[in-house]
Formats: sequence, structure tokens, C-alpha cells
Amino acid sequence: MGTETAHTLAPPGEGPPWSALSVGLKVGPLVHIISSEMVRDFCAAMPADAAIYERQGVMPPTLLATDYIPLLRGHLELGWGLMSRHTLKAVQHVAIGETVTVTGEIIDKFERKGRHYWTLRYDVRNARGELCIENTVTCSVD
Amino acid sequence: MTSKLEASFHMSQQAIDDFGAQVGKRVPALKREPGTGHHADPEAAKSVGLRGPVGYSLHYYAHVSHLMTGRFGRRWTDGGEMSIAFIKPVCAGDDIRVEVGARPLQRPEPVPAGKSALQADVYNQLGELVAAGTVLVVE
Repeated sequence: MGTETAHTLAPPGEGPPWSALSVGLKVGPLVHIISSEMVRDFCAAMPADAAIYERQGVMPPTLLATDYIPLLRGHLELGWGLMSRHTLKAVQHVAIGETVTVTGEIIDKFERKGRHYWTLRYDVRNARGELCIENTVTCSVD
Repeated sequence: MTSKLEASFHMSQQAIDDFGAQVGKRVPALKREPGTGHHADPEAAKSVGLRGPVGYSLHYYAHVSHLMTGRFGRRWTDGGEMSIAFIKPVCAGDDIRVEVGARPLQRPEPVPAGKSALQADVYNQLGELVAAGTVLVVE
């Protein structure tokens, strides 16, 4: 990190600031083909037994939960904030081998105790357009 | 409704790096430069008031879902719900324990018809509650 001190460190600027964020902003789509390799990689990183999913031929419901990061890329500087809440509804499973599309919408932004927060709802849909997983995440940006 | 479900793991820096790398594998443009940011750089983490590099909340969140998948299978993957509040940061070096159904439900809202609810809790090595919420499965 060179000669920078902790106090001069700045988060990477990858988008507009929170103040410019609009509720109703739609983000995505991201398209993924869910492979066995993705499932095994995800489980290895947890770590957890991937066989539970491979036996049933299904994707771990939270595998795409981190997609809020690429969804917001270029739309909001995520800064070095922290996640305050995540909600997931697994409406129906995603089968290994399926192609899915992830889209999202900023549904709230607010300030609490001097910190700035945003809330994104993002959905995973299968190739038939059916809702599989509904995610809602709230994070701070500073 | 069910006996307690439990998992534990060590949140090493390698574990944080490995979990964070999942995004870059799906979206290569988002591959992180190793050792940067508040998930990897101790100085960056301290600059924002953290004890050390912070783990991804969705990392231990994934363990809650994994426990539910192992116990309930399709009742979880086809109708399960969870909502977890993240109370304290988990940092590199912490030991994490995930429990589901270990204590009474703390949720103030009524449980929806046709669903069963369990309390989900995550603790660090000091016994501090770092995340908590509710999981729902189809009855």
C-alpha cells in the first residue's frame, strides 16, 4: 500500500456517491449459467459439502447473493460500508445447468446515526422468466 | 420442530479471500487486486474502525442456508426464507459458530401461515452475537 497512512486511505471510486443514488434505479441484467464447478467452488470457499447440492442437482440458494456487487458497479460507489441486513426468499430451486438472469432495483435509501444506507432488491429468474430467488440487502456506504 | 443445527468455521484471511473471489469468478471485471480493501488490507480496515480485515456477511449467511438445505432439502430450496441482521463485524482470525433453532424465536412478527420458523444466530469466539434473524420453511 505504499506510503499511505490509514487516515489517507480512500475506498476505490467505482461509481457515483450515495447522494446521487436514486430510489427506483434499475440495475442488471447479469446472466449466469449455473455449473457444477460454480457450486463446488462456492462450497469449497465456505467451506461446505457440495454433495448436498450436487445430489439434488440444485444451486445453493445464496450462491448469487453477492451479485449485488456487480449489479451496483458503476451505479454507486460502495465504499467501505458494512451490510446491515439481508433477506432471501427461495421461491423455487435453480437447477444446475440452468441459465439465470439477475436484475435489481434500489428500493430505499436513508440516513441513520450519521451513516448513509441503501437497499437493493434483486431477483434471480430462470430462462422461463420465473422468479427463483428474491433478495433484499441493506448496506451502509461509509 | 427440529433439533439444533450447528456449524463452525475459522474466518481466516484465506477464507475471506476465497469467498470474495467468488464474485470475480462470475464477473471477471470485478476481480480484486489481492491484499486491497477492507476485506484484505489491515490498514484499510482500521481506517474505518474495524479490528482487522472484515469477513463477508454473506459468508456466514451462506452457512445458515447450508444448514437448512442439509436438514430440509427441497422444503428449503423451494419455499425457504431467511432474514438476518448483521450486528457486529466478523474479522480475520475470528472463530464463527452458526446455530439454527438453538433458542426461542426472537422475531416479533407473526409466522406466516404454512411456514415454520426457527431462530438463526451467529456467534464469534467471545460468544458475542454477531448476526441474528429468522429462517422459515414450508411445513
